[in-house]
Amino acid sequence: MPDRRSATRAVIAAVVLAAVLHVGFRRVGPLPPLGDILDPINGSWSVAAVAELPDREALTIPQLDGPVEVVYDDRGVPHIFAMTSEDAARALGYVVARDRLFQMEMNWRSTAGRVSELVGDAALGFDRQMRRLGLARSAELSYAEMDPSTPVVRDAVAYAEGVNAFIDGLGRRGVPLEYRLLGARPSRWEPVYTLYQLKLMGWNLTYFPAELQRLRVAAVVGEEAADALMPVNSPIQQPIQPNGAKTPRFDFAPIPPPGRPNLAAAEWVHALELAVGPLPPGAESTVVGSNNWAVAPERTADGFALLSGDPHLGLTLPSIWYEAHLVVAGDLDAYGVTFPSVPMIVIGMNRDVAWSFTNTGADVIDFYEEELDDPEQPTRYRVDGEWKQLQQSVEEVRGRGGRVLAIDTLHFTHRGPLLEEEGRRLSMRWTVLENTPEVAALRGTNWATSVEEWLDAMQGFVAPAQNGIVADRSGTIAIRSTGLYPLHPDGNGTMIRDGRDSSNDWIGYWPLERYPFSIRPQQGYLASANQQPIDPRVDPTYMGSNWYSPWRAMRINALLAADSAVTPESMRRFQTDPGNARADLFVPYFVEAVERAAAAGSLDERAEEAAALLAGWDRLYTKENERAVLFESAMSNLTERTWDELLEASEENPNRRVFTPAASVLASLLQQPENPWWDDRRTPDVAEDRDAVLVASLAEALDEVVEEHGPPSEGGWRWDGIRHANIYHLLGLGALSALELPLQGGGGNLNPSSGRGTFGASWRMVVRLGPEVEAWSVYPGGQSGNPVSSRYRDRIEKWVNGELDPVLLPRAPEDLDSARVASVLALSPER
Amino acid sequence: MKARVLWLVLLVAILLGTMLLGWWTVPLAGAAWGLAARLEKGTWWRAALAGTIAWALLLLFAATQGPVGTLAAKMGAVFALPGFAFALLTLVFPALLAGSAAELASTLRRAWVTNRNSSA
Repeated sequence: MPDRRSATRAVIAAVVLAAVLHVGFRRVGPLPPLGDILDPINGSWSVAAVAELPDREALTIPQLDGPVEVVYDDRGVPHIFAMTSEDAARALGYVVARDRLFQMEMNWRSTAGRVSELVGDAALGFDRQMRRLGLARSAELSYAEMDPSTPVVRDAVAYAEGVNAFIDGLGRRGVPLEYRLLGARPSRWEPVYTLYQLKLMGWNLTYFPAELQRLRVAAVVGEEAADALMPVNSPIQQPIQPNGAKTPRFDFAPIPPPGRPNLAAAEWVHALELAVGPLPPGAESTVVGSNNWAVAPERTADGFALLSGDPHLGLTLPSIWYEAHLVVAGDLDAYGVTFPSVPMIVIGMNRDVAWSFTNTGADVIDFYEEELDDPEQPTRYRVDGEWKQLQQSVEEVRGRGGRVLAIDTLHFTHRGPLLEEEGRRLSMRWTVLENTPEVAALRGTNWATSVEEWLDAMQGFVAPAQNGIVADRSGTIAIRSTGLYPLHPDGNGTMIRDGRDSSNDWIGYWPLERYPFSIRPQQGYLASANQQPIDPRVDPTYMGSNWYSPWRAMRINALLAADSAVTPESMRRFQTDPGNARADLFVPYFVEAVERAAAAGSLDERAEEAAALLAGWDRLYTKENERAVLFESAMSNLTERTWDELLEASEENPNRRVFTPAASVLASLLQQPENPWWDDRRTPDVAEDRDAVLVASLAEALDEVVEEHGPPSEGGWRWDGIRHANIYHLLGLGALSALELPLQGGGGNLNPSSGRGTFGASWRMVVRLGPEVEAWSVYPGGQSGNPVSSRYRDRIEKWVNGELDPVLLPRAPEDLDSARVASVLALSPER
Repeated sequence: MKARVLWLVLLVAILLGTMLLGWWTVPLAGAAWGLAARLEKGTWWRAALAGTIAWALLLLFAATQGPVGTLAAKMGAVFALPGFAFALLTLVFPALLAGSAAELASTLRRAWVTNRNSSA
């Protein structure tokens, strides 16, 4: 028998071995299986081996029709030279998967509500919500109805073949880091995932139910006030479709005082909040947004049209965009950015045309209260006195290892998904869930040779509705707000409707000829920045409400109107212009209120000091500026004091403001100095007026800023030390993120920043449509999704500084200067 | 002499096993060596040393393939560790696998031999 000492050693060895094997093979708490992490050859260390592109590589994709040459330039952009568009799509699928496979998987899983399978229970709520919305179901239905012989479907299939060719060749060593951290393996790619991606963008850009916001407000201050605080028409008109005015028009309307809470609305709010579920990130922010603008040849320095694309989205690492160039000799030559999942250029240019998008922000969702045959197990719903069959889908939400986390039975009416909460049964109609051919429209833009052809291609674009701006080499510029805009029987889209009556259904969509549109405008330039697209005096039809305040639109229009010799360099400068129309409007009100208070002898010294500081401000949000912080704090205080009537009445969230009206609505209120909204409820004995609130807000702002950042003379007020961009890794891992990046710009700037800094310019592009198209671009990140790669975040510094890189536009592989070639990938159908 | 050769065999087995099949071959190699080496003492640390050296060599090889320093720094940060600690963990992991497996196998072998001899 072994002695006691040997036995002890054996027991210790067994315990250690079992423990190490356990952490090697299995997850322990948040830790992934360590074996696959620590293995120096097949584990996470191997990620370093695929961080950089090889100088030259030759690979086989059996489905290719012919050879494809992919030449990566020194910015990591693949220039794909193929013989057919399908081969270009195959190669694009391959190279995007090589750089962004995990991101692609997260995208389709997000749409399908299958993120829990990767990350576990934490995503269960999100998954259930996404399944309830039926985005993937809608994409599947659309895809099933598409003709497989059409080029767009063939491209989607080819793209999937390219992605799967990469996955097949991965081996253990090529698996991206994130899969290792999650203890997962890549899934096969399906062609329908291309449609998933556009549905996901639809959710991101349009899932802002106006009904919910309006009910929240009505529940607290009544219907009339709710209508005024969420106006159907923007109080400041600087529409996308030029209205002939050279300056913005201020349609400030009286705002009725806070009314009595609407109890019926209050009863709805909670049920609707639950039914609607979590909104997309940033949904309730109206500070950030996108810009695009184009200048006709008569207003540019060298007589060629110029176009700027500046879409603002959630910032992530890797970026939402992937930059690529697709060339099929004699057929296709498109350059720009695409979503990793989409086999074509989404924003960019070809040899004749350049284009970009901003979000329209139209109201494309409506809710209907439904009557069901059985509240517990419904099978039918009533419309016009007759019972109709509900469609049903049983959804199993699974977690890691296939464990079933939840089983949900979903129902759908002819309008869309049925959302059941707290005894309320609402069906939702949403243009994003319609059978939609956006992919075909986007594909068509890549081949357009003129503005007119581009507009024709975009006719089929449905959702998410976009302000598409386009310019061509002939000097034509145009913009159109393209997408489906529902027509309501009573012209109002802000209310929950009775589903039992089909006359409440949409009666159609805006016809194309009524879309906000302009081509070859007399003013010589066009711009959009998510503002109300069309002047209600031109077309009063309901398109949405609570529009973004048009500060960015005002600024870019002012810049373009003032410059009759625009250059690509000035276009670049405009993208991060530090001027701010919001500050231009509000600062005088603060300063003058203090002056009036001083004249009346009722001024406190802090307000006087703050007003002096603000009056001396150049109203620019440069990085070194030391006054923007005071203005932002004053605006926050002004917002809090003014809209204190909108604090939630419930005991659960007594300090939650149910809604923050747009700053343009606040500007309206400034025109009514005695309006009861100015009264501060915290001081029941005093009825404050506008000036009292402005003065108090400014004084308090000074106190707050001094407390947080020190006295104004000590350098702590510099804007770049205060407002930052924060670009998080897709899994939110700080170590793989780029945080606290200094920014030029604040709320309402062309380069806007929000409080958390997680939204911003996702792609900046300037294109000159001369005899040869020239372009400059940047995005916040890098082409590679591999955190170890030098191409993971190599563009961030330039992005922070508002710089652009000239893009290379070779017509053939040999056109690329060899000094600019980083890697060559030769793809062939056979060995 | 034979012990040194056997130890070198262990080192090479860990090296090749990890390269060709994966990290889980490390305890198998350690156990096999623990049975074969027939050591009375020093089984654990000798096997652990082989595991560490083998993986250190593999890390050196990995360093010729890509930026492992960057990877160590990033992975360390993911796990709230300094980069060198992640590299250190990578060297400790095979040591624990190989050492414990070798020790367990060696002790069981000795127990079996002792049992057999006492039965005889």
